[in-house]
Amino acid sequence: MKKRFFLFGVPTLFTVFVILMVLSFASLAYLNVSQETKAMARGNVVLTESYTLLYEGQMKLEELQKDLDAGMRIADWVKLHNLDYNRLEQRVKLEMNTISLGLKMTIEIKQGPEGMKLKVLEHRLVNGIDQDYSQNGNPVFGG
Amino acid sequence: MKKQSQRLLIMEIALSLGLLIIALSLSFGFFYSALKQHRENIAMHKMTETMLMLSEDLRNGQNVTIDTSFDVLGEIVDQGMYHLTSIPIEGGLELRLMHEETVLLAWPIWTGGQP
Repeated sequence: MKKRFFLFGVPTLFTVFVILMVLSFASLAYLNVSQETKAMARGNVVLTESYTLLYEGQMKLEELQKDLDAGMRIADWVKLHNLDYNRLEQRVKLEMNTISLGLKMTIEIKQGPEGMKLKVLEHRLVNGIDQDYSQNGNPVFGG
Repeated sequence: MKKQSQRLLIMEIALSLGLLIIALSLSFGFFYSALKQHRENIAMHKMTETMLMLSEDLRNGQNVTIDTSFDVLGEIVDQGMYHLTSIPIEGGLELRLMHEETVLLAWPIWTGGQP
């Protein structure tokens, strides 16, 4: 009987199987970490933008209060800052946006003995598709 | 016949060893870079947590000194490769996490100042 020779015998096939297994695990580990890095980068963007919006919101509020304290009339004040003002409810709505997040604020104008004071009724942190990141109307700054 | 058989056996062993070496080198490269990146991610996570704690303390009006250094694992040390500093800006401070001259993460904190 004639003996036949093959280049790819059982040891070679077994080696190829081991190689494929090791390469698969290594690739999975690499892909997993690259997804982890992407998720972390996305989280850091949300974190940075939420703090930036908080800062911008507070600065805007201070600026609005400063103008009221300086004795500016409501009509001029609304016109100057281009505000969405509800005269009946004495409320102002503000909206600020960054690339992926937005901050919606509802501010009440309270008439006190020391003049008009602004009080934030609602902070709402939303993303581009209007998903709410708030808890009971208060933003969850810092994730 | 015997000679041909021996030659084929040598070729098979050489091929297997060659493939094994290539695959192990590739896998080692993948595992090594994955491990390195994972370690960097953990360090970044730890540093972000520290930044968040400081930010909340600042927002709550606490007097916090911000001049922190982190090592490669994200632990606070005297002289590390990452630095957390604060820059005075209008109305507050900007927290900056830096690696040499590169800003890795930065955000502003309002500390009660006027615009």
